[in-house]
Amino acid sequence: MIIASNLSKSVQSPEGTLNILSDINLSIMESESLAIVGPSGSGKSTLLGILAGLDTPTSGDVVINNKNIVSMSEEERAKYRSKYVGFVFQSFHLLPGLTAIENVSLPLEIKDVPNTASLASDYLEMVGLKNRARHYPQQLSGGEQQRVAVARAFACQPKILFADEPTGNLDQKTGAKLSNLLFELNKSQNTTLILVTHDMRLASSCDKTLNLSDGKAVPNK
Amino acid sequence: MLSLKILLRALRAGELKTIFISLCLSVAVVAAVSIFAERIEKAIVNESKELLGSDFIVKSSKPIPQVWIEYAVNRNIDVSRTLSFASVVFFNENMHLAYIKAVESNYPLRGSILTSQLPFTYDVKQMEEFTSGPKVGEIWVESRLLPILNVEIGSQIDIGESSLTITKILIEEPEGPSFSILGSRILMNFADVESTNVVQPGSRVTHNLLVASSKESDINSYVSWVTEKMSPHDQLIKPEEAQENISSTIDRGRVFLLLAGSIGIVLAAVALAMASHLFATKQKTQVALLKSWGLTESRVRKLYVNQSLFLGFVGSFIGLFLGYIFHLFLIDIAREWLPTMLPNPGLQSFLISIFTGIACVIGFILPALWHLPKQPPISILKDDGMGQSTSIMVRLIVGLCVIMVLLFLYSKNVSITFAMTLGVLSISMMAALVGGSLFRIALAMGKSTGGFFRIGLSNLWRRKSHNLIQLIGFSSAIFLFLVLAIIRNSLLDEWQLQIDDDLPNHFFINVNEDDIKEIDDYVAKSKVSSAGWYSMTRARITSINNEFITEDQREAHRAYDRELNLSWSEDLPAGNEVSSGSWWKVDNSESAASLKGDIAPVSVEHDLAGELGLKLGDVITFSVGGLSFDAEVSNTRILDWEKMTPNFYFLFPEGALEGFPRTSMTSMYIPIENKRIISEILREYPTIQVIELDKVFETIKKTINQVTKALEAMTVLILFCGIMVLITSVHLSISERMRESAVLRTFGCARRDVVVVQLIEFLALGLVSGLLGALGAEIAVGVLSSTVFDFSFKLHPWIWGFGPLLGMAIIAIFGIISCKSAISSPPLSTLRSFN
Repeated sequence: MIIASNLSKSVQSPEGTLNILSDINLSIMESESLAIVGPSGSGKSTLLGILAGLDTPTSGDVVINNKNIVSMSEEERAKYRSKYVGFVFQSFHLLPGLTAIENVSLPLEIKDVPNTASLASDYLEMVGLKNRARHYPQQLSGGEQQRVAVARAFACQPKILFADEPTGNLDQKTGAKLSNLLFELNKSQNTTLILVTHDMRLASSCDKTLNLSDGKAVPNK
Repeated sequence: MLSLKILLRALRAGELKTIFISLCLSVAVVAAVSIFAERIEKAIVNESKELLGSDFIVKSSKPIPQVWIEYAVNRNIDVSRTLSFASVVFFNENMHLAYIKAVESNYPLRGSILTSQLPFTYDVKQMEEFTSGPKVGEIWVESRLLPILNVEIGSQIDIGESSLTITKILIEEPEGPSFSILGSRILMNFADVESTNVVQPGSRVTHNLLVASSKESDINSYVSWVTEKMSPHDQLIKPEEAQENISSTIDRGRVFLLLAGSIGIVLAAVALAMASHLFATKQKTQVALLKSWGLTESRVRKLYVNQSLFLGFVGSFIGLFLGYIFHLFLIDIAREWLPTMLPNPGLQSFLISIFTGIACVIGFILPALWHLPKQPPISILKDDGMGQSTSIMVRLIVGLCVIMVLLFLYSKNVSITFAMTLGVLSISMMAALVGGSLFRIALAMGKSTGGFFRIGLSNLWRRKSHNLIQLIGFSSAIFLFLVLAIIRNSLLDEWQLQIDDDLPNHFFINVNEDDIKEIDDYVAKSKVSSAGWYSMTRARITSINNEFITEDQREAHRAYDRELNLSWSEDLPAGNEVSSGSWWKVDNSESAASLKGDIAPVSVEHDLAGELGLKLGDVITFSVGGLSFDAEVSNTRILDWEKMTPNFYFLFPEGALEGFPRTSMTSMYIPIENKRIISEILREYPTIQVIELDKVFETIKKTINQVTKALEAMTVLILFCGIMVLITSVHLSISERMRESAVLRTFGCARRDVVVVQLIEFLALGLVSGLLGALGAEIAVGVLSSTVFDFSFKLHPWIWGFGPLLGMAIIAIFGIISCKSAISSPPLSTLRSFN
């Protein structure tokens, strides 16, 4: 279970203090899916980053399974991410010098998981790209690259998957396919899914939706 | 091992290509030059030992103590004695003052003696090599003795009370005096000396003990031991002194090789620093990604340190291998002028090369990557320029320190280290101080011109961080090229004078003035001409400031022990420079000072004056055939010995030595096919003495040619290093250029116009880089000229035009080539690749 209480984030800018998030509260149960929606600049990615332990709020807490990740040191947060968290990014962030299977294997190798190649191959098969295992990202289409990224994220069998605009760089048709894939894998692995999206169709597929506007949560219409 | 896996994948993907090549190149340069220079130096030392006939010689005016000989023999060190003295030799009514060397049966300890059965032969097929001297009862004589005494092989000539048989013609022997003017050389057996009765107590004899061993440590310990035992009568002659004529040439060539190698190191280091910087900027996303997956800061640091060290070791060994191959290439180029057998290199060159690789990792790669572990993981979601970078100042300081250590370790020359470091530092500081202002000026200029000039020049300001780094890189490359070019040209200009084919290679001295015309006519028939006649009077120094020269003084310095050649000149001769006092001005209305009671001024050679302790105002008493006169030291002169023109230690004003017996000397260029005229002249004029320098010149030419070829080969290697710097520098900003070109073309710019924009930026960068490079070169060459190469300081106006032109041309060409694919690709695919 994830509980975020009174989350605020502000940064200093040449124009003064910028409030990116103000007093955000939310809770997500295990295996639930949450879509964070809102216009550009509303603080969606910032909130996602805080919930994932990539960043810390100016004030407030994030308690995950009774552990407050905000009060952890960076080393402890890294450990938390290593054990529980997976990511899918809008820009895919596949390493261009690695093949598809190597991209999927890399986080497994970092976590010292045995049989990485075999596991990576299995997940590539799940996303329908087993025959493209030895291809480099620049040889794959956008949709294929994102599928490799999804395989990479799920191969670590995370408890919580964070996805930042996973269909943002894809056309509608490909985006729809990817969304289906995401939810299928999510269901089969019982992963808690938190995603940021502009795609209302994707958002409507989630159990919950959090609307952000100017860093504040607004009630859903 | 995760580090190794990631490294190998990065290498495969080409991400580390430039770093790896730069690293290998820096090690290869060090390895090639170190191994090459070491083998050449060892070969030259070995050659010098052969010229010396031993590893070193103890020379004394007294007999060598037996204990010195026994000490060496007890330590299995080889020794051999020789005796050198002058003596009149006779055949019938003919006589000649000869220079005789008596040698033991194991002479020489190194090298060999060259003889022939044919006098005056230069055909190597007619020559034989021997590793021991004449047998008892035999002598080997120099060709010119034959016509002088009217003898031939088989004749018996009288030396003292012995008659000895001429069995061979002596052509060359180790430690053979190049400048003997004491007559023809004769080699005899040591055992025959006693029976000649020529050497008596008080005779002027030089005793030599030749020493050699296969173990350098044994020789070094013997040298230390015997040096402590030596008195002022004794002297140690080392191999370097055997080749004094060419030692300056060898030394300069060696230093230039080291300088060229140093330039290569600095260039490769600059390329490595820039490639590392470029690599680090591209790693930020990867680090953020790794940290999002749970990698801690310490693990990230460990990852990159391990990768860098592994890269360092592998790069070092590959660089060492490449350097070894390249040194073989250098040897092949200079093969014709190198000794047949080159000694193997020692371990030191290899260790220095490996150390260079590791030092480069520590000095250039790690500082560039050091900040990466601090990259915040949130930047994977929001890339808004987050993340620190190790301060450029810190990286510059660390880099400079490592460059200094490498330069000093490699060149062992403080001046080269200082000059190169100062040059790079000057450029970096000037670039930092001036670069920003120049870019601002370019921005203003662009605004006033408009069009593509506006875009091109504005880019200089817009990309000022990258451009500043590029400016340092480009300027360093141009600076180093210019230093290499200036020093190389200066060296070659100077050497050219020494290897001129028509340089006089024979000196004729002790020629009667009455015979000059006839000799001139005689040599003219063989199409040989003299380079001018110089008159001189032979005299001895008998006292200084009214104090007679003592026996000890005579033994301590040859100038007190023999006749000297005094000459005269109205003007300061060419190649001479007054070091103290002033040159006399001879008033034509007055005759030169009469020497009956008056004191004539005398000019003394600078080094000799120092050795004899002579100061301005000292009065020297000379004796010419029993007639004495005084002369006051009025100035000292520095002579240029390398031009091989007649030089005199003592010069007087014109007419000062009027009335004293005089002889003349001249120098001539006599080609090998005309050398017979020497024996013909000697036969006709037996009192003339000839100094044959053709062999010395041959050695000098050979050395210069060998070093020149090696320098040219080194220049090719340095060129590669320079190109690496330029390519790496251009790639610093390639991504931005690609994006810009795609945007411009999306808005309707033709490809040609995009090229023009890039060209304007590159030309402007090239111009500024060229000017900064010229500044750095003037500073460095100024230091090197005075401290290393002994050139007179001067500015080089040509580099202020050539440097900017070179900069503009090369940077524009490489820049446009590097951007070509970006400009040619469809804009959409380029823009997409940045998403």
